Amino acid sequence: MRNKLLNLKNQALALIHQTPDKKELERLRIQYLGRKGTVNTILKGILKLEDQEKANIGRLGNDVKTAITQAISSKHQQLSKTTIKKEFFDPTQPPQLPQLGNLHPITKIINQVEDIFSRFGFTIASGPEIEWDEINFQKLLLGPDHPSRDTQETYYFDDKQLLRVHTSSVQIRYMQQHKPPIRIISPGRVYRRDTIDATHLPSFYQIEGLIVDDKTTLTDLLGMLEHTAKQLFGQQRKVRFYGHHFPYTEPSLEVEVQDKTNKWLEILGCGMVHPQVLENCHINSKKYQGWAFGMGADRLAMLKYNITDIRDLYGGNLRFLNYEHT
Amino acid sequence: MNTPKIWLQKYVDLSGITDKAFAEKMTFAGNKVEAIHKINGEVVYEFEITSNRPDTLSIIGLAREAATVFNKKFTPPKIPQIKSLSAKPINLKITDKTLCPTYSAVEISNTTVKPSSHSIQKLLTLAGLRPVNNVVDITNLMLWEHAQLMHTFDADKIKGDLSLRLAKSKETIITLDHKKRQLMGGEIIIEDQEKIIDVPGIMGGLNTEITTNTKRVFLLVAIDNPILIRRASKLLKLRSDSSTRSEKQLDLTQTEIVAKRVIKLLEKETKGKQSTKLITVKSSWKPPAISLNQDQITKRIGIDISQAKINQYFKSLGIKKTGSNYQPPAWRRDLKTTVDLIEEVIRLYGYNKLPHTLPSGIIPVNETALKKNWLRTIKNIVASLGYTETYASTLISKQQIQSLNLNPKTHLKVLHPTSEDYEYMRTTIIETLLPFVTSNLKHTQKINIFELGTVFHKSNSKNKLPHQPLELGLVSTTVKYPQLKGQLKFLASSIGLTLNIKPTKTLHPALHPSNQAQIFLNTKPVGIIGQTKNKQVWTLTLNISELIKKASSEYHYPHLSTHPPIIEDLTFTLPQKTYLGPVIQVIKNTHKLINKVVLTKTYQQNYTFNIIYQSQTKPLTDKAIAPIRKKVVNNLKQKFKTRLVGKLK
Repeated sequence: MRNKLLNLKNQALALIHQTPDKKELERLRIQYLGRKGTVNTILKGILKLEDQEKANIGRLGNDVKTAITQAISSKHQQLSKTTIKKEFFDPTQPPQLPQLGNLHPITKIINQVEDIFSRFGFTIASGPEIEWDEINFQKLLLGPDHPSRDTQETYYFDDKQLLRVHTSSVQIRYMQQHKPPIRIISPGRVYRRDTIDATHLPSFYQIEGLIVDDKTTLTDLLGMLEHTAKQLFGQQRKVRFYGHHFPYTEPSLEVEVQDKTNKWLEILGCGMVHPQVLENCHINSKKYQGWAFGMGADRLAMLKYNITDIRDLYGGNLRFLNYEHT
Repeated sequence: MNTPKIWLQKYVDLSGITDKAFAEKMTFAGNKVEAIHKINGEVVYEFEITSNRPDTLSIIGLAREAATVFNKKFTPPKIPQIKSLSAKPINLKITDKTLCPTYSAVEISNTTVKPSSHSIQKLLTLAGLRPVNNVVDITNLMLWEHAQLMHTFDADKIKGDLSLRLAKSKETIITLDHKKRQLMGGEIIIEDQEKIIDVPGIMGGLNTEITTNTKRVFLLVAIDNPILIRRASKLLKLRSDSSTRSEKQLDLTQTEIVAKRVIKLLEKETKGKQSTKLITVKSSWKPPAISLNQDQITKRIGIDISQAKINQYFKSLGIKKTGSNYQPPAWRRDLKTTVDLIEEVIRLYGYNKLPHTLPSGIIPVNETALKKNWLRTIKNIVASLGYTETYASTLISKQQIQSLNLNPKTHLKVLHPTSEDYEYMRTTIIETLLPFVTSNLKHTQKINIFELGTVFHKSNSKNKLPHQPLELGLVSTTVKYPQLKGQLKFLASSIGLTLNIKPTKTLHPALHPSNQAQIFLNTKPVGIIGQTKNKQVWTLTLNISELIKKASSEYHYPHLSTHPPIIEDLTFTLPQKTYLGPVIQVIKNTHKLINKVVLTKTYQQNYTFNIIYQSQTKPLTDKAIAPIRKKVVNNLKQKFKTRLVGKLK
């Protein structure tokens, strides 16, 4: 029986090897491995054997089955390979885009700035867009008759409530509720009563940052802003600073960044927080000092993504908003 | 402020400095040169002057700045000697000194009013001022040089004494521009015995105008209360070179010096003669004493600046050392405290020379540091579902509100809108998203957009700010209700929440009256899902401020059973208008072995549910689930009057 099995195996392997097609291969499978196939027929004789021999032959029978199965399967694969027909495939055909979802350019800028500052331990703070005159102006040393209010023309609802002109209001709220050290970044929508044109709309987005502790200096502010500009616009990009005036910072500076054509563009205002502003928020200005900056997210988005008309940012036009993917 | 270079050079030598270098260094030090113009062959710098520096709204102030920035010598104008006469000029009575803390007054007689000399006209023209006649031109010339306001009156047209007081409401004056102006009350005015002749700081009256017939000029050089000037200029909507200066903190000590120069210039240009003595009422202003030491600079700025440098800057700026303190000059009333002086030092040292460092202090750890950025998470999820983020103006028009069948009266309205397009605050993002659908429809039928922004609801008290929650609004022309509901479920589960949608009566008048429903977080309504009336757009709004209060990123992964499930389909005939949600819930709640129920097929009123039975502990047999199945059929029959299609095994 042992010999029968071994012969059968050799015979089967030889035939499988020579098989020209899948049909013949299937016939061989049934012939050898089918329920009534040759292997099973031989193994039926196993019942007559002694126990010891029964086990040995049983094992051999299994081995033979496995060998034939493997041979058939590998031959099957081999035959399959050769039978795949050549087709014309055009890798240059136009793509079918997935349903386009996308974030707004201003969101992209805000996310990047948040990420840059979060590495330095800044967290996100927010506040209401309709704000008290007191928080938006007076705590920031902009009294009712301050001439600086001209540059920040304001939408009012009554003599106390207004649409905030900057997110500095968030800084005031945060400082009133937290003790130093403070490191926050506050992106949000702000409003100015401007005439509407390619660069001015009644509202735009601002990102402000504030740090208050017992050792930060003006040179830290310059360093952070240079780092931010380079992260946003590339290592080669240059920034420069010049003196300016905001009632709530002393000294006050403006920052310009060079665009791709080497033109200097103003992107933000900043300065060391005026000690009186700290005191207005119950922070001891003898012990603590800080700096703050406010940048126009719209302006940054326009600069980074080469957008020329600010109205495109607020027009909801899908051809514009998804342009990068079309 | 337009500043001709030749005018500046009268007081500071700018030779050897290119226009570009001049503009750049002046800008770095805080005197921004916006543009360099070339007018009639002459260079004119256009400065942007910040509101704290009215002293540089003048040629002399800018010359002094230039001298400091470039370390050059500043040569102030010579103050001429004038005659001391006994005759008094027209008397000016001021009962409230806070209205006009200081002035000088004098008369010039036998004047000949005619065009001024070429050199004066040239300077004024370069500065962008229109030459009028020699008298007016001289006052403008001195306004430009000293940032000092003055007014000349035809003295023969003045009747009796003058007095300066606050205007009463509805008093009128015809101003030099021939316009009759009704005063609001509270403006500073000067009147004679009969009439109002001037609104100081704003505009003079036509009734005492200098004309070619004027033979006697009354000159008044004054500093008025800047806050009142500013209010008046806003009330009367009159902005002028005078008002932009006189509403700021000007030099309270210079009226006499300026008056002396004007007398000499008038004598020269009009051939007239000073005919009264020069009267000056001085203000009680005293310069503050401000402390400053080098350590304070180092602590605030981050570098050491030598005392020699500080002394050099301060000397050039006119800041005097008195004992251990510093005293700013009269023209620098913006310098009040130590940090003001530090700014002077550092802007002149040069911001671009400072090293760059990074903050080295303690990083705060508080509740804001622990908060997850849910807004970003939500935006990313919605974008991943195929929606494009838009930003719209939160200020909208009446028409926009009405077109959605909403009432503008429920909307907050700004007091002085700049345009009808931006008048009201939106109450839902749908108000601004739907117009975007309309505008995009011209180009594509497939519109899926969202915005996450603020909406505004009136508060019930003036002492409370309006309710301003963050809202997510999304609209789609491509989804059907089940897909949108699936997207909502995905969004909610991604931030650890379960939201329920319940059938409700009409909530939002902008939406289809029946195809809308309310979304709940537990029992709190947090949004609306609904179709527009024309059934072209599905919309969803969610109160994100409420959701992120409960949002969580903690969830549990399941222990998947290793035992094979039994899966079967049961088909029921449901009566018309049966809500499917409760049906599925009843099937699911029948037994804990029912793991999942999915609606797979509907045909007319027949609904096929795919039911998965699975145990965590043992393999299931058909025998074990037979009673459960029977219970499902009975429960549905009882609660919803359903009928099983086919027979129970």
